[in-house]
Amino acid sequence: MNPAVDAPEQARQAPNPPLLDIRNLQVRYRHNPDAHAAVHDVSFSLRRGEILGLVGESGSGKSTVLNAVLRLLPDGCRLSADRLEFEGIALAEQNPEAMRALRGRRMALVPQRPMTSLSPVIPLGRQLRRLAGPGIDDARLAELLRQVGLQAVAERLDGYSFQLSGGQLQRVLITVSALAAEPDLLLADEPTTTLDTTVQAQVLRLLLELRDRLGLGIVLVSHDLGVIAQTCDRVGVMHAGRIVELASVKDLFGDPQHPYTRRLLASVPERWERGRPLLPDTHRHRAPLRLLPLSPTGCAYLQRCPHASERCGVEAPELRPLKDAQVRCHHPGHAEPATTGKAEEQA
Amino acid sequence: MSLIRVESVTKDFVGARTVADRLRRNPASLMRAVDDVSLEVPSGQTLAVVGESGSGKSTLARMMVGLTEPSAGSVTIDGVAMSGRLTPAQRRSVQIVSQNPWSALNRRRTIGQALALPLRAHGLVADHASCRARIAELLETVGLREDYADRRPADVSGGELQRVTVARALAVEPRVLVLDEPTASLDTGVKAVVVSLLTELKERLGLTYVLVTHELDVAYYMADSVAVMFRGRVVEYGAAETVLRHARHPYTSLLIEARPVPDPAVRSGPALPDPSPRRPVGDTTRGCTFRPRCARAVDACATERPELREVEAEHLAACPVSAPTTIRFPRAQPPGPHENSQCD
Repeated sequence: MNPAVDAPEQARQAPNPPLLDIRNLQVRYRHNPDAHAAVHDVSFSLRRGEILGLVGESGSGKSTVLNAVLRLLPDGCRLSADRLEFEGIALAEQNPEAMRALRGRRMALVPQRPMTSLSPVIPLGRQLRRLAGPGIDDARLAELLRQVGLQAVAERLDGYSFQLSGGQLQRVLITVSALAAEPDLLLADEPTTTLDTTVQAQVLRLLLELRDRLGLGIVLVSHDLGVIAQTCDRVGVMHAGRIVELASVKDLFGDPQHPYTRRLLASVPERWERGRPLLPDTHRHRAPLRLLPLSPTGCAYLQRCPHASERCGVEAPELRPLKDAQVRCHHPGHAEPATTGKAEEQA
Repeated sequence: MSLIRVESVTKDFVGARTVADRLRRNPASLMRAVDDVSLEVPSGQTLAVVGESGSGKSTLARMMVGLTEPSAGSVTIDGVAMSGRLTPAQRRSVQIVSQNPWSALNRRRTIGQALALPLRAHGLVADHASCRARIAELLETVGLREDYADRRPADVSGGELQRVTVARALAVEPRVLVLDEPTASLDTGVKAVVVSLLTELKERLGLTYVLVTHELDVAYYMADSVAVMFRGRVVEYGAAETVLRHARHPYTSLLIEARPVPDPAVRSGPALPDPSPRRPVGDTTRGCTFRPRCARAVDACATERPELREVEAEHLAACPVSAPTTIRFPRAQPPGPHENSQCD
């Protein structure tokens, strides 16, 4: 699965306006008015043909960002943004009807669980035709599915969703939403989390193929760093509702700047060493730290940060450019605030 | 002497029959979920059973704790066959921890009530006070504070909830824990905490583990031996170090390679053709079930079903063309010494 292909490369170089442009997005859930924002000061833009990954633990606000773009947040959610534009259309100002015209047609969502996203009592073909929009008949659907190697499904459009495997269903959904309606933007919310690794590889390959063929812009939410490393061009690392580091996939994995990014990368099971403890002694066998209420002025990562200084307690860091990336940290890189001139080595 | 012995275990499930099938008096189809599996786990060791979904891992796990009756063969733990009627003491010797802690606990009951149930059912506590004390002790064993007993599942995180299910399994003081995907639903940081806890408990309490997982890295970290299952059969079996680092069966290599590497500089393996449909019992098609997906298949694979045989000392593989692989495992470099892998 090599993402390097000419078409997106050209798209990346063209000075076109971004497909998706988000500045200072904030989302608050109503049922917890005192709580801090579920999403706070999230800014990024996405060009055509680009795959942007959003990675972070559960609860870090990844899916909320996608739902905010689709305007699918639950009732009573408060959303504000300096800019929330899709191809120049201010999404926050669209009425529900206009949003419905955009959703599924110009921007499509790939759900996490394909099984629960389709009805088990309506024939597959009928649901897919509805998803694909007017002008797509069964013959065209079957043709689209054959194009991506899903012959087995193309022959069974009168069947039901439960007769297919999870991997087949997910690929069907991606194919139909991406090829039939030809959207410009695909929002994928953990598209492979429920799939076997061998099947996951197929789904990710399909995403890359469609991106190359159609020049789709894709936002891929995942907590799996392997998936991110193998598919994305750029990555935003989310922590406590904020993007703490936004960098090209090469920089992020090769030279992570934020302490949280470094810890995420170090904790992947692929890096566990057999026979060595996974956690430092002080951490083993203890209830996880409860995050104290975030100080309104300090850094959200303060409690868990090995490099925190006094400044981190009083002044929240902004997302600032650093080299080719953006980092939300007062002490980025490997610099220890307390020591000076310490040799810095790379991971 | 092995504590757990799985001998030629087979499990057939009866397929669904539609009304039309019944009217036509079509016989029910049988699906073979587990096919002639033999394994052994010495006391104090960990066996990992790995494979894709549908390979029969969980069915095997359920047979090990006596929740599913084998169609043929037997599972014995410490000389006691885990089928038919078991005495409470025999049932206590092995416990299962399930994949999804949210569905394993009643969300209307407190964690304390969940832990009290096995204690009372097995008559292990005399009165309310000793029950309370034992619950506090169990929570402490898995690294949770005593006040968690009054919380409900919705009030605690996924990692903490998984520890509660471990505590509940430990309540009856088993010798064997069957862990069915204990970390599948957890974030990587929390995963490390749960795996650390399980590793420590095994040493401290002298437990024997059977770990069912699709995460090869978790298997590699925790297990002494690994059995790779495909379509209900064990296709490779041996020490964890041997099986995962020097895989002989193409399916094992496939599982290792398919995992996306968390390093953009290393490209993951190729995507593979769709798995062929599962074959019903009595299907006389000969040949290797893995053949449709196998890159190494030779003519003989179409006619002969490969049996598990020793390819080197204490390393079994069911493949006639098995060759040592050159795939690197684990797939990523361990972190440097300055990197802080603490997780909470």
